[in-house]
Amino acid sequence: MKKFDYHRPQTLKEAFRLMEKYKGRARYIAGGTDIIVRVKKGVAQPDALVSLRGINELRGVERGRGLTFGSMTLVRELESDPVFSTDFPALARAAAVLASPQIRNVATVGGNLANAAPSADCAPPLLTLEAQLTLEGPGGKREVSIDEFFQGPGRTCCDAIEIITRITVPAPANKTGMAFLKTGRVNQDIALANAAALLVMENSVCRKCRLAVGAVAPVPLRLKTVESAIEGRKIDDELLGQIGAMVEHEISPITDVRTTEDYRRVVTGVMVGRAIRQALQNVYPGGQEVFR
Amino acid sequence: MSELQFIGKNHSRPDGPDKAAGKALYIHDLVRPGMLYGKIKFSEYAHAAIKHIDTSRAEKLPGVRAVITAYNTPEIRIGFIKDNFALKKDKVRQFRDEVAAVAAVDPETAAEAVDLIEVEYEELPGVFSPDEALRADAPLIHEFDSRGRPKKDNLVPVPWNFTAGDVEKAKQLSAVVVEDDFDTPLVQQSCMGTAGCIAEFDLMNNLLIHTKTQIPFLAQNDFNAALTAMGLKGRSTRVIVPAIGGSFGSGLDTHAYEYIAILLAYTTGKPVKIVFNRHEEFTALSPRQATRTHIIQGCDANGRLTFRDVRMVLDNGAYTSWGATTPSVMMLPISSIYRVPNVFYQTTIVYTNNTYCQAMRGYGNPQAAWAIESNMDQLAEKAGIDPYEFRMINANVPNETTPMGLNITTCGFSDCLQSVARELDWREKRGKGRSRARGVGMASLFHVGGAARVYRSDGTGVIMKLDDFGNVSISSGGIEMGQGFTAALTAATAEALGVSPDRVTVITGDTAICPWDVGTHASRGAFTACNAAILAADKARQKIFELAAEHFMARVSANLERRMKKQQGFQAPNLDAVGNPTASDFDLRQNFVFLKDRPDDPLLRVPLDELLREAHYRQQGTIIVTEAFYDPCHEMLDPKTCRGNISAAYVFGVQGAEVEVDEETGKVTVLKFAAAHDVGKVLNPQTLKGQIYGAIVQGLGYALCEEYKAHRGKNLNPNFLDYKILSAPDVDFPIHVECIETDDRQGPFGAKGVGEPGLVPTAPAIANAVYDAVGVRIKSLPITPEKVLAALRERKNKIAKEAEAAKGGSNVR
Ligand SMILES: Cc1cc2nc3c(=O)[nH]c(=O)nc-3n(C[C@H](O)[C@H](O)[C@H](O)COP(=O)(O)OP(=O)(O)OC[C@H]3O[C@@H](n4cnc5c(N)ncnc54)[C@H](O)[C@@H]3O)c2cc1C
Repeated sequence: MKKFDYHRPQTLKEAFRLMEKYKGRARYIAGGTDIIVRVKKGVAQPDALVSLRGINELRGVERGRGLTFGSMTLVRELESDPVFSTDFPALARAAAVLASPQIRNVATVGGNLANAAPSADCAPPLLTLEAQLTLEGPGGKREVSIDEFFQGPGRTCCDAIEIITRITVPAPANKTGMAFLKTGRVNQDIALANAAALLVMENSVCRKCRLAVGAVAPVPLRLKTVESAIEGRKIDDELLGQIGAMVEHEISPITDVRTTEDYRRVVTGVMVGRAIRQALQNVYPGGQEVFR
Repeated sequence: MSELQFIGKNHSRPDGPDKAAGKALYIHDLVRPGMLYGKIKFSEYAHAAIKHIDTSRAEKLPGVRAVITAYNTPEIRIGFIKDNFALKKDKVRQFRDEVAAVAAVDPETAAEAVDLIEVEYEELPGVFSPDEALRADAPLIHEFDSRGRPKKDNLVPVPWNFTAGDVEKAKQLSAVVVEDDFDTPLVQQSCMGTAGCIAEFDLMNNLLIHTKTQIPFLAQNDFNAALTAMGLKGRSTRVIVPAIGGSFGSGLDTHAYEYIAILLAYTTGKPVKIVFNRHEEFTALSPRQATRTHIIQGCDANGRLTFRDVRMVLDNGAYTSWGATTPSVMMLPISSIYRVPNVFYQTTIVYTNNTYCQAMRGYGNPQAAWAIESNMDQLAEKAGIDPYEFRMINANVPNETTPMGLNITTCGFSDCLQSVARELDWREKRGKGRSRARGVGMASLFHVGGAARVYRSDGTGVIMKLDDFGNVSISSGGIEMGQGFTAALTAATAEALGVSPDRVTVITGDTAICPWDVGTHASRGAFTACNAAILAADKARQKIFELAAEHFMARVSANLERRMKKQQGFQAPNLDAVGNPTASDFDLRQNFVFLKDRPDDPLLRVPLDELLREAHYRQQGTIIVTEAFYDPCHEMLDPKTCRGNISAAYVFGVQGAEVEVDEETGKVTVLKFAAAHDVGKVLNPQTLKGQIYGAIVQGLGYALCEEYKAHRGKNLNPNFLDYKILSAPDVDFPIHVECIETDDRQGPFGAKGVGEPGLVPTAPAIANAVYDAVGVRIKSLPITPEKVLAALRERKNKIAKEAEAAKGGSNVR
């Protein structure tokens, strides 16, 4: 492992200054569960790591029109803090099945997004929630929709100095249901594929449908075609029966050492269907009759 | 030994607290004064000629103390048939081939130096499967055998053949015959503690090596041979084994890295440490062999097995380890599980440019069981018999000699079958869960349980030493690698000697201190060492009782006198009635020596330590040290006929599972697992169950997800991110373990070996349950969702086609 300097600034300004000083040869470190692995492997060789842990404004949760939380929020907090689990069960669920308790105790939501792995478990639920990310750099703040954030495996719209400071999700509308599902080779695994669904229902008709999947395209992906095929319709068995094929059409998985393209396709189709059913069940507990 | 005090009861493991608290010293923790760090340069090709090695840049790197290759060090041949070399010259035959190595002042410098070594290769065509390797025009992996004679093919010259009865005739006469092919993948031992060693020489050129091994004495022998090759004939080797974080067979051979550390230590005159990182552990150690098995079995109209015909091909990889003898263990179930009169078995072991293979827990048995037990269910189905009933009909019985000459003494097979059937609610569930994609399945195992005569000696020695404080240390050549050896030997020593377990210290892992042992393999550790401990304890007791004959009454009188002085009114009993006891009148229990016929008289007993001091602190005194060498009463296989009673006892076991298959994703979920093992006698319930639980989980990994993936000889998943073993969250179902006690005469307190068997039948039990659940049979491990899903689709298509054809047929009419 290449040796590197380590800094722990107290403010964003200080962090930006350090990054400028190293002229692109420094990287941020949050929980370190991605970046340290990369440094050890030699695929990242920074001269310095600039820790975000000392910067208070990257922490904390505020309730307003929705929920705004700092990028340094631990995955463990997403999993266990009722602020998240009550209103955003899919996000809490994704956190609960991300890695192991030891990792969740240090890994952050900001790191999960900034790392931009196609399999990042926090991404699909945040995509379905249409989260807004606040990015801040030496030149100031900007807001981007999470939908525009991911640009490729490991690539985002953040420039090298920008920090994700906060994440904002709107308060869920009435009659909203959410779900998250993940398929791994064993229980603690990087997703072979994952899927999140968010539905807003009016009687048995779906007013709003947001679907997102991971590990089956270069970026965590919103399934916009499938969404529009569902919105405004009654969700019944017939419709659910068609979803698998629609999903398979919209994704572009690859074969790697973990599984095959074909399997990813099939299992994603199945998971999206199941995520929709689960989301429906948590709109209408005991809601089987919704789609009978 | 009428009532046992410690055997059969839970005792915490003596090695437990230090390991749990991080205090135990593993090879990773050890540091020697002036120690250097070694690192190996591995091949970049699966098969290539070495044209040139340029080490000059590495040599110039500050901090580097030595750079070695086969060109500047003596040739050291290694391996079961000596077809391997510590460092490779002229040619590499696999990706892990060691072409050079460095020693440097720290690991970072060593790693940097290795990268500065430049090797020029000329790539040669490779062969990556036995099929490719057996083709007439296949490139030769070894042009010469280890005696220098030219080789004509890629066959490993270690053939295994066994025949009993007349299989061809039996085929003709069978009412039902079923045949199929079954495959198993390479799997890695996945030890938590990776491999490593520290080699160093004293100024007399004697070698001291701390190393992770299961065979300290055979390793000592191997290293002595290396010293001879290095021109140090007659110098000695001392092997010390630090705490081991799991070994699972990976420590049954000596490895190139150990010889490289020895060469580096000799070259530099400093201790040299080589410890593998996880990547090296995967890529540069030897996994379990991949096999392809063609099996045919038949039975008569009553469901009695008539014959078994098994032909196997093993992918050896590029060199030959002791793993090439796994067919001798595969042969045990193949010839002897269930009563089958006619048997044919043949194995071909083939060199390829894949990583070379070695031993792993079960030593070939899991691969054999996979084929036999899957095929048993196929045969039962075709014969129209419930697979549990079918196994009951054919189960082995006690006191029978099998066609291989295995003398089955105790046998709890039927009890095991019944236990698992009961636990799984077999009659209620078998064949009835299809609508919910649920099923139950079972599979059996047969393994050595009374050590195994793999070498001419299957012996083990112990030395029992009692100190002035009544403490006992027992040194043994066996190895604790997490399996509970120390706990078993502690309880056996305490029980056999008559002291409490807290008085016993077990010492292992030092060839200079511990007596010889052939190795901790074949589930033999506790079986042999506890038997040796019983023999040594008998001798010690005899000596203690002789001392007692001399000093016991004097000590009793002295103690009584002292008490009379101290305690007003205490009336000492008259000792005249006791007379002059002789050695045979005494017994020892709970650290006290007492008279056999007055066991309950608190005044007529002497603490063991008191007696020992009395014997020690006097002119012409004595101390008590005894030794014993136990070598079981069994025989080596006849090399021609492969017959012989290789073990002193045999174990049976049955495992079963209830599973649910997700028909949309192919995922198999275990709902419940049941195991019943004939263990002879439970020495320590907790450690025994620990062994079985652990083995089951390892077996489930083999069944469901473990696979060492390679492309043209290069490992693709050398880490736990992509090589998946099961961990605690995956075991969210009940595991029921029943131990059947058959009390084997040969076993220590009746116990048989249990280290390996727990993972032998796990995979076929799952495959059989999956078949019951959804009607598809997976014939290659692991049973991944991808395979299950593909099989389900195929089945659906087939059914659709048949329906189509049936429709078509009726149209014609
Ligand atoms: C054993 C193991 C298992 C894992 N399992 C999973 C899993 O199941 N699912 C999953 O999704 N992930 C998994 N991961 C990956 C990882 O744990 C998560 O992605 C985690 O959320 C990363 O957060 P972190 O705080 O540790 O990021 P870090 O490693 O600190 O940072 C990751 C990257 O993001 C950048 N960064 C961090 N914070 C910010 C910020 N606020 N603004 C801008 N850039 C930033 C860093 O510079 C770095 O490039 C696993 C990792 C390990 C080691």
